[in-house]
Amino acid sequence: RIYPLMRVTLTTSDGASVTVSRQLTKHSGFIEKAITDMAVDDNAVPLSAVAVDVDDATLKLVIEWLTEHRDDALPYPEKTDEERRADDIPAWDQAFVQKWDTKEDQQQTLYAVITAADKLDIKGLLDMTCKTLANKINGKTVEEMREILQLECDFTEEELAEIRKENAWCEN
Amino acid sequence: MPSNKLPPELWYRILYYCDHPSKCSISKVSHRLADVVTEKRGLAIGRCRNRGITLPSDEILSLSFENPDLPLDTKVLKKHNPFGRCISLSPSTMNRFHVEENYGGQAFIGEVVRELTPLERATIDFVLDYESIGIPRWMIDGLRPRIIVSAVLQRCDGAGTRISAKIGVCRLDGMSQPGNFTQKARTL
Repeated sequence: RIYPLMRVTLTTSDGASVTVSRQLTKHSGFIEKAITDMAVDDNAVPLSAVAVDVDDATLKLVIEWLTEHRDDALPYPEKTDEERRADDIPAWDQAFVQKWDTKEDQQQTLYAVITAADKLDIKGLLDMTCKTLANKINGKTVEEMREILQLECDFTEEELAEIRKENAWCEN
Repeated sequence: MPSNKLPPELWYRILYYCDHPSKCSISKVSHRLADVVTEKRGLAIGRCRNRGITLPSDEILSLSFENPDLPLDTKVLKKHNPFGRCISLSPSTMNRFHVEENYGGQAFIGEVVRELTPLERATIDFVLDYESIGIPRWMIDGLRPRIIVSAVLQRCDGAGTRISAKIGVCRLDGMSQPGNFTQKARTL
């Protein structure tokens, strides 16, 4: 049983401490497992600190998302391949990600949140952020993708020539 | 964190939501992403095999993934049916054509054919709606096939109506030709 008022202290990779409600952490498979492994009394307030390999700034974003989604049903419904779609991101989530677009390092923030969601095993957040990145690159050219993903072309001239040949074949 | 630091497992999850032409483009962004896409392809193929779904030969699969707009050889695809099931056309002298698939039921793509005058020919092209006959979306996204069923009716003078049919398989050219998805009838 989860006590909604119970709180958990999380220590981040950069040494910060954040105390959050169990109502939020129940969505994180990683934190729930850590609490179970500690075998502590569920009534202990607050629990011993759970170390998470996520920096403070990213954890704050994760907590913001968890707060909005605190009442989401658990376990997170796994979708079949046929049911997967990228255009069903809830409006609040879209606005949440949109806020990062004002930041200079919007892509970095997105990667950081994807990685944090994976590490903390928050399936809903992981799905939403992966869809967001997929939506950004779907339908783009190779050059546009490099720009979005901030990647350098590391193909050799010979490989590029081969790619051009392939593209010509497709375009014809 | 640069995108190329994302582990392959996370890229696989992102690729779930990318369409096939985009996956092909991603494979041309960098060596690492090319490796991720290739591995993803391997995973998809493995999943097909685990489900007992017959796949085309490796050469055809490779060709298919590397050239999303490339038409595939009809005979080869009919022989190595990517769906692991026989899709056959059953023309009849009834005024409806239908396509049957031997996997627990029929998929009707019927078209009422109007009465033809003697020696008149009509060609009717159908485009199969894969999902309506139970072929999973992820497979459609992966292989992007399009099967066009073309039926020809010919009423021969005094010899009844002669019906012949053929089935063609080609790759989707992106999704940029919506006109190809409409069924049409014309008189030759």
